Amino acid sequence: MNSINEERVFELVAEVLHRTRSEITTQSRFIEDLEANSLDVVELACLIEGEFDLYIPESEIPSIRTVGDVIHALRKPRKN
Amino acid sequence: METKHSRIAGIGSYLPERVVTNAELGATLGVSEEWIVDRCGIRERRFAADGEGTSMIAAKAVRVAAADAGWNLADIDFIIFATLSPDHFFPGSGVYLQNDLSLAHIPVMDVRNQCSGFLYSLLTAHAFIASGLYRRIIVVGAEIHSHCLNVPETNKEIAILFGDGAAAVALEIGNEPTVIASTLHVDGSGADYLKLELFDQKRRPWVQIEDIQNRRHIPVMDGMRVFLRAVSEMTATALAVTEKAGIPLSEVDLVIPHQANLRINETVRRRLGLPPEKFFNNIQTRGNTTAASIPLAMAEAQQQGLLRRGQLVLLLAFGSGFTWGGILIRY
Repeated sequence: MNSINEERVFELVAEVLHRTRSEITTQSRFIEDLEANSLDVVELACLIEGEFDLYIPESEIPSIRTVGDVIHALRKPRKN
Repeated sequence: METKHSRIAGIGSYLPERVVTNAELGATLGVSEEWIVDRCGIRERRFAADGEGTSMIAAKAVRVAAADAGWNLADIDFIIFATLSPDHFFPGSGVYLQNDLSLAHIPVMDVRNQCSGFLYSLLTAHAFIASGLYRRIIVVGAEIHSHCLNVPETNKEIAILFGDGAAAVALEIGNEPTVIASTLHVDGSGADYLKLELFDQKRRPWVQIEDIQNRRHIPVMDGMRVFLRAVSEMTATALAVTEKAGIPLSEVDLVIPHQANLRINETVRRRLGLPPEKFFNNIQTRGNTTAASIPLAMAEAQQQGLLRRGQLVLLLAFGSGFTWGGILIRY
């Protein structure tokens, strides 16, 4: 399992979605709870990939619904 | 053959007069001003007047660029014209441009590489000068998107993005290298993710009444795929071009990217770790002008004192095709 700093993920989510850090939990749903749109999620994925030097396949991004889904995608073992 | 250096001697632009604000466009599309800004960072754009064509606005930008270089129009010995919104299917817009400018029978070449069209054209012009084939070349990008967007029939995600405009650079023989390093790419497997089909040449007849009903005259885009790939390729290209040049990215004075979506550019900038002052954006007031966006941004960066002689400038583009590339220049 990759070492992911969850706190940094929460900070990025809060920053991109203009939320306070305390509003973000792993259960937070992007669209329903954080009022994000699909482009917000894509932008987040790009920034998080860069931050952690990891890659989330395009095919997995549409199924990302919660902050926890992002962390799960980042922790998935990937072949280089 | 002795290799020569090319030099950007002048830049010129032309924008249609009509300013279309988010308030006006939003009312047509049924979305708020904030909705538009939030999705792409654009606050207003220019739309051409009825009767104004792509080659016509290109001609206006060419005149300004030639004058900025201190040339007479008769000094131009080659023009490369990049556009994805040509006046007609054929002939290419270049011949209309040549006629509009009342030029001698100089060659004009049409380039169809969408948002990367300016970079493909600039590098070609540089190679023509370096080889000694031509001495004074105009590279012009011009687009009139508004006439094909057909607001409000267009998908609002696309209709908010595009603007009209034209811009040109004048390239001549120089004493020092301008093009330091470059890279151009295509991945045709991405062709369907951003396209305007209009017709299908495999059919007989190739244009059919149903094409309008099936909205083939309106652009389509898979925004998520374009966003992801644009960020990925523009980031990688910035690193690849500077590495090729043997120059750290931190030594680049200014990045002038294609203006497709402010959020794409901001994401690329952040991934590259560059400060906002090194990443020029004017999409907020221009929209996405496709092949015109980079020279238009160069013209405006220069007017604002941000683009200066002697600077190391990285031009970056990604767009429909997919096509992308980067050129590092010493301006």
